[in-house]
Amino acid sequence: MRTSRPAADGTGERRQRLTVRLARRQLWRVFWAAVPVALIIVGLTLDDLAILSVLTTLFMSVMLAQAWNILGGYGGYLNLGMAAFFGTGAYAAAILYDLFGWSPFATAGLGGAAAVFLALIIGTPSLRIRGVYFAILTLVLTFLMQRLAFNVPLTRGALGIFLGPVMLDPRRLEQTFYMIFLALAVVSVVVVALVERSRFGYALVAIREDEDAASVLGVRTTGTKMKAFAIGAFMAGVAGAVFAQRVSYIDPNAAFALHLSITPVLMAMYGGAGTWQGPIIGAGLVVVLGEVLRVTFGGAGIIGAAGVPTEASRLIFGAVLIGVALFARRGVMGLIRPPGGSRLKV
Amino acid sequence: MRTFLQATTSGLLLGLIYTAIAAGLSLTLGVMGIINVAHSAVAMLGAYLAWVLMRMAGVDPLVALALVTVAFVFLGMLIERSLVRRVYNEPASASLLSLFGLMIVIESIMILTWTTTERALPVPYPPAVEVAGLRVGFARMVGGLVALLAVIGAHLFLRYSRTGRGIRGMAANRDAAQILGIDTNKLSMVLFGIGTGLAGTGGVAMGMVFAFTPPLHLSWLTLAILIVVVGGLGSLPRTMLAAVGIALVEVLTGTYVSFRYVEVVLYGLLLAVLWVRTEGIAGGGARRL
Repeated sequence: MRTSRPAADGTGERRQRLTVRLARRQLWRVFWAAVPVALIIVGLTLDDLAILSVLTTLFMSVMLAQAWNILGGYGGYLNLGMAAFFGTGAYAAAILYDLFGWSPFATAGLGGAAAVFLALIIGTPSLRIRGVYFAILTLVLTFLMQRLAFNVPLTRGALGIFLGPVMLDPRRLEQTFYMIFLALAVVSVVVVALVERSRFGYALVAIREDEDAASVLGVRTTGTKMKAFAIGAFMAGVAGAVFAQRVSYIDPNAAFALHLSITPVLMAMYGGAGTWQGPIIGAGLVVVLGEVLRVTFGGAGIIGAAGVPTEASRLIFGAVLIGVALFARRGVMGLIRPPGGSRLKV
Repeated sequence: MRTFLQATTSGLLLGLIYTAIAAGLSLTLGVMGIINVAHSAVAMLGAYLAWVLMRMAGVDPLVALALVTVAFVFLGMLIERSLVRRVYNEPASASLLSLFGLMIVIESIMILTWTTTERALPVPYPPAVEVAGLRVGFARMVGGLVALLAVIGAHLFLRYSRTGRGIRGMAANRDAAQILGIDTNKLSMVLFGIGTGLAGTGGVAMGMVFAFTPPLHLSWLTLAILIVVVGGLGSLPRTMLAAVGIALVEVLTGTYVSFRYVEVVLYGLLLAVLWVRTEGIAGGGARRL
């Protein structure tokens, strides 16, 4: 290579390299555009309901991970309360069904609005503070909402709320939710990709890198964080509302489950927080890993008792988690695209 | 009035036990800025180890508590060395994730080893004693007093020993402390050891009073977080104040209103506190910029 290069100028080679890079970018664009198309085809043709169901869950996970990603990934604020917003959306839809018989498909937006309302209440005090307190407060918020759901008459406490199931044959039903969650996931990915390139997105990144500096340079930090928090809450609330219809029964334990708060964070981190591709990759990895562990250990009873194998797979899951945290700290996207800039903090 | 005094006494003792559970979390969060979500799982592990010691070897509860505490100081140092230190300079989420992984691992091991059957420490104490006309649970009294001793011990160590002074310097400004020649790596290890040791003490003390099962540790974690947030970070006396206050609210709400509303009242209180003072009742004074 070195010997064949013309001595005087490298322009030709430089231009060639640029062309290659542009072509590669185009290729990636085609790839990402082809994914939803392929998934629609899969949804229309696949007959295996179990796989459809896993994929539907995957789409919901992508949605939640993207919802977390806006404030958590770009803004650097560790929100551990996604379950609170998810559950609020689920309960809003369920209560509306319970009182007026409105279908959650129609009221999903209201579920999102309820979650935004909660975000506005909780964001006012919590976004003024920084660092660990925000994480703690959002974590506690989940427990508070769960307790409320257990005790308020409107939510029927531990009894939970039944939603009338959608009257379709099993395959149609699974297909319907598959398509809805696919659409929602695509929309949330597009929203996050747009945010990444917007003024708002750059403001968030500035806050993540150095909030004081951003504030001095004229970024309205509190308003920006609030907006990011509210958008994430809306997405989680909508996901919760549709989820309520999918399982057609919710109770406080399921709607405000701790794993709903933790898994989106894990997925975004695995794939690479603060990139729009990260949560997609991460959600894929986590769901596939979960399924592999379930099939390997949860199948024909290696250890025997029914409850035991799940613990074994959880043990491995935990170990993998530690491994990722130690060795791939910025996720898969961090391996592909190493971050620039200095790591020193004064 | 009698009911009130009875409830208050019981709440005070419970608060001391809560302090032990929360103290370690408060220290690691306050000094190192790490949310140790594995804290309660470690505490639960302590309760189970004490259970094994007492059931299998017939060890006295207090000896078991001392053994667990000492062993956990070393366990904490090991965790700091092998896990926390490696992700220390990463964003908070990296340490949180690795510790969350640790929590899952510990919890799964506990469930695999001891199943989810509810256990209780077989303490050879009379159920209750009469003190100044009030009936006090004996185990609760022993647990509370031992927890108090452990917390006072840790406080004195941090306050007066050379290492403790170093740790406080590190809490004020880690980089400056390092520049001044303080071995922050070593002190972090010691501090994490102390925090984990206190988790062991708290776990065994909780086990003396309440029945336990591995998944229950999450409610211990919530409780500890609640106390730490209300009390502000890094100061053991404040943590104790918050723990006792919360235990009193819990017991009094349970006595006069209803057990069902205990947690709602607690979390509501927490939100109210954070609305008014974002860094806890006793916190604040932290410098901005």
